[in-house]
Amino acid sequence: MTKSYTLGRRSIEALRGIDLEITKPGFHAIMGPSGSGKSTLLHLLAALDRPDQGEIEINGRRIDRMNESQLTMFRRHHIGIVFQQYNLLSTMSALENVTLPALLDGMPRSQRIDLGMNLLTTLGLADRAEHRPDALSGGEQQRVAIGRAILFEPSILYADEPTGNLDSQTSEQVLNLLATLARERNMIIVMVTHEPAAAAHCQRASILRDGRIVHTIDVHEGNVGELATRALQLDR
Amino acid sequence: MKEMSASWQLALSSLIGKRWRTALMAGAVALASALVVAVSCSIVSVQASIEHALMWFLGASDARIVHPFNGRFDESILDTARTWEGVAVATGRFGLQLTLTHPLTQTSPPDKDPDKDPDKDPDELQAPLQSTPNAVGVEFDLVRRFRVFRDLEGTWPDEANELLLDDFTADELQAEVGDTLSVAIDDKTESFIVAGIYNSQKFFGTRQRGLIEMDLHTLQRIAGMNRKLTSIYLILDDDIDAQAFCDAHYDEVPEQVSLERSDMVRSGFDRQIQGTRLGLLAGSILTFMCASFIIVTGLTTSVSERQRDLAITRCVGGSRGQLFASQIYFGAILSGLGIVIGLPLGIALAGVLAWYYRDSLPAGLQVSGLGLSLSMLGALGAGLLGAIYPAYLASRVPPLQAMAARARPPSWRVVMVMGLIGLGLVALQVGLFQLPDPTQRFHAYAYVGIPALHLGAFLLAVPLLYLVTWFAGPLLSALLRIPAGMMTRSVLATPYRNGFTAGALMVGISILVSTWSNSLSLLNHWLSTVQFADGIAFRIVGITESQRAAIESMPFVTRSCPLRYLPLQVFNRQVFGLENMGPRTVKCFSTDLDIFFEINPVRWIEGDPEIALERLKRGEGILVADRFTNAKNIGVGDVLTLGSGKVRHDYEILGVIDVGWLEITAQLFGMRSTYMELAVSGIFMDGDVVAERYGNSDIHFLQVELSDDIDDAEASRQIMAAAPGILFWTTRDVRDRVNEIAFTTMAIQSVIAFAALALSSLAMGNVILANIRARSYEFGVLRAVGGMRGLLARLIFGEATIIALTAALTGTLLGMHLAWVGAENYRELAGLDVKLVFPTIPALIGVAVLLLLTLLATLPGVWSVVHPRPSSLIAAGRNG
Ligand SMILES: Nc1ncnc2c1ncn2[C@@H]1O[C@H](COP(=O)(O)OP(=O)(O)O)[C@@H](O)[C@H]1O
Ligand SMILES: [Mg+2]
Repeated sequence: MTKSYTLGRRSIEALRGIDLEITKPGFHAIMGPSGSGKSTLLHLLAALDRPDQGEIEINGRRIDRMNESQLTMFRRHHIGIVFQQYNLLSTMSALENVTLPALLDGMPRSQRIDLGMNLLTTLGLADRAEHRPDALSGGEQQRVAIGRAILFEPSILYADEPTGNLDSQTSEQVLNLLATLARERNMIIVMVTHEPAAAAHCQRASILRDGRIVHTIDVHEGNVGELATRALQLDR
Repeated sequence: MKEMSASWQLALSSLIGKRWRTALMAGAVALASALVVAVSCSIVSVQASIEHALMWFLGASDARIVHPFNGRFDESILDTARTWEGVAVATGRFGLQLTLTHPLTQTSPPDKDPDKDPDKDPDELQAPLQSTPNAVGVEFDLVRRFRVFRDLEGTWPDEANELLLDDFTADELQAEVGDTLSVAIDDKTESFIVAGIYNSQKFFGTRQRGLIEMDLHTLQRIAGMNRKLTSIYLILDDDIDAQAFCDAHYDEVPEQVSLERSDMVRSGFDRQIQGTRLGLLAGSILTFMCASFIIVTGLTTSVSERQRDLAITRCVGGSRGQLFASQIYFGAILSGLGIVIGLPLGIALAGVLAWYYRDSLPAGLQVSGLGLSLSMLGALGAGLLGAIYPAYLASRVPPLQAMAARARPPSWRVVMVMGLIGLGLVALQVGLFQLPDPTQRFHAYAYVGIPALHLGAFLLAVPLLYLVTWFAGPLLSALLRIPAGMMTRSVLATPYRNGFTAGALMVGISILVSTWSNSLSLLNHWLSTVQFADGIAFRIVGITESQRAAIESMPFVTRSCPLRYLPLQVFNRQVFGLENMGPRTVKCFSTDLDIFFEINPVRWIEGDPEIALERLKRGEGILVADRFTNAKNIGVGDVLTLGSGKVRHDYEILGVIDVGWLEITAQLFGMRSTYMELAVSGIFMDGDVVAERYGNSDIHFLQVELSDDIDDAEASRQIMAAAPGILFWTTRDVRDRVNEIAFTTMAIQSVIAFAALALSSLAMGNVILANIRARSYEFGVLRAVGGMRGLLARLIFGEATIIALTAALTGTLLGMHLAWVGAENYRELAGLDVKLVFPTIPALIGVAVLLLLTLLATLPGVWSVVHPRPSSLIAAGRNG
């Protein structure tokens, strides 16, 4: 598939023909230098934007053919998204943020609270339920955001540089959490990342350059070093 | 449906998240509701009290016989009426103004000890007290069957020399039951004893004058009009229908007298009530429109501020409909808050007023159902309509916006569309003004045109913001030493909320400009007409022969001209005001035409004076004021059917003259027709013709020319002393009164305008704060790279100034357009040919106040940027 943006008279080809298939549940990394089209790809996969050309199929459903309200419902129930900036609603508590999709779905309040509290307990945030985002640390905010993304147990979770704003120790916690989710809940997690350390948690990694996928590698303990070298090379 | 409860929750969370803004918007609705409720309840309370007083006056009577031209008729009619079948009680009344004197000199009451009241001049207390109430001669034994006299103190009078005073007159004279009062009649005095004092429960308009009851025949004798009556009141047997009774005996009363149902008095009153209702409706529409402007601005700001939140909500599965609905619910909640706060506040406000004026409002506080429904509907409309555009904006936020660092740049297309819709609304309003039928036009314009105009101006504020920024921006940047282009770019980064803020601010300026323009136009018009012989004496129930003689014999009175005033109805057409709503009465002035034209500089607009005067004296026609020509193009050759009751005559218009001074003077003296309608304009007839045809030869005005060697004030004092009971005003007094009334009105209007300005400045402060918060990252960077605090402050102030200038420009244009509409209405409905005035000084003051308020409104914003360290600004910007 392809995607280009027009800026004034200039047209920028962000994606120049991507062919990507992810079949097995697990942790999949998308790496590449800045501006290579990683975020654009993720947005298309997450049904946040439409490709110019090409097809996107998730769970056997063609999301490029869906209309606005079908997309909305699809996002709500089948897709989870985590951002670099956490993107929690500042006027809501952690509990309310986690249960936002359920609220949008019209779930009764008591049920919502049960669901949300269970989730927060799993995430180790039960005692933070009533706090607003500005009273939470970066790591905590990101964990709340992950909780929100998996509330409806979607089959796919997308994360765009989820550790980009975190120190290495907190990053490690968040990555472990994602890895656990992929393992225990049998989810596909697609994570855009810069950092080879983050990619080390993944089973597969695709490397993007100028809007094209240049490598797709199976990651295991042995080739993390190689991955790091490639990423470093590409970054130069 | 289940999904919609989510919208409700979202609305609640954004409501709680931005408490101050919510309070401001809800406050705007509440204030508008309170205003409409308070005004409507006050109006209804005053009307109820007038009605109360009217009903008290009519009492138990079912029908009455009156002289519609305020004249007197023969008492033999009373004898005839008593013979009619079905009449249970009939009683005659005779009215006269009487000056009573309480000789206090010997017995000053102990509680009025001069030492206790140092402000009062002790000499003044020693002087006899005087009061000139309306005296009514009644048949003491019968009148009690008609009316209830409340809280009667003393006894019911039954002797010819006994009086019943109302509390007002008793207060003025410091009289108590048993006191002796004297009345000067020509050169003798007669004494009367106060038998009783009752509580009159007067309402506003009649407060200035007392009402006393005395023996009918005594009063007739004092007036020198034996066996004359002014009215007869009838109580009919229970099984008699009043209308049928009046129809049956219609022909049995003389031509100049009419028999009618007592409740006919209400007809003019009902028409007035109808008029105030329509005024209230138009006023409410406008008031709530302003509230909704503040809501549009506030919510639009919230939506653009919370773009990221909205986008996230979309990312995690919120639908467009849910975001749309959440804003609409937000609007509905604001309406609800506005109603819950506004209605009780309005009623309380009216309650306080009713309590303060409790003595003048016998019927007490009345709650207006119309006002309550209007304000509920209005509040709901303001909230919902105000939320539509922000709701649309919210539903259009794409999910990807969650990742963008900055709000999207405004699209030119939307600005253009907004400008076009604005122009369309303004054009619609111009179109409505072209409707051929004046009544239709008036209604269409008041309820659709004016709201459309305001909405149009509100939308046009956005394109105008661009214009002002382009033209005034560079200059202002240079003045404030802001790098070129910086301010322009930042103002135009958020053109909607800035433009809307200007739109909300424009209302105050427009009210100021339009009301001052109209008031100054009217004032100029009236002042330019007040040019007549040096003074005018006035007495509402007629100047007596002896009073007239006393005035004319003063050494400094060189010439005088008697004028009579008579309310007449126009039967064959509507001359002024709206069809079926404007008053159908005209003021008829009659006089000795030769003298009148000799001492007054009358301008002839149409007609030949020579021929006209000849025919006027033969009673073949009338002269009309130029207002007739201005309003409906009625002029020489047209025929008006004038009269009242059974008396009707056709009159050809023989000339059109400019006599504004007489109209305004009559208005200032408070001459109103018996039916409580304001008679609008003047026609002129020959004095003798009127006396004969309408049976009233009272003289109400005596125009007086003074010799040059006397001071106006001195002349005035001497005349009022020589002829007690007379009011004498010099030209200067009339001008002073006109000025005083005009400036009081303008002061009230200015208070309203400045209140609107202050309220919308709050909206302004709010938007500026929001703008600054949204850009604190940018400001932090600016400061981090070495931008000075002063620069940021100047930048913020410069932006606010641009908004204020846009508001000033839009408001002034709108205000002048409204002033023009007002001037056209004066011509169309009242026939006043006023010139449009641009109120330069008030407009400048308004703009200065606006700029000052703007400066104040920016202070919290400036502080929040200048005070903290750059690092915390950058951090705040990141997480926002
Ligand atoms: N909304 C947009 N409008 C215009 N160009 C964009 C937009 N989003 C991304 N781009 C451009 O598309 C290219 C790919 O961007 P992106 O997918 O964000 O890269 P990455 O996430 O790998 O850094 C870049 O050149 C970027 O400038
Ligand atoms: Mg990116």
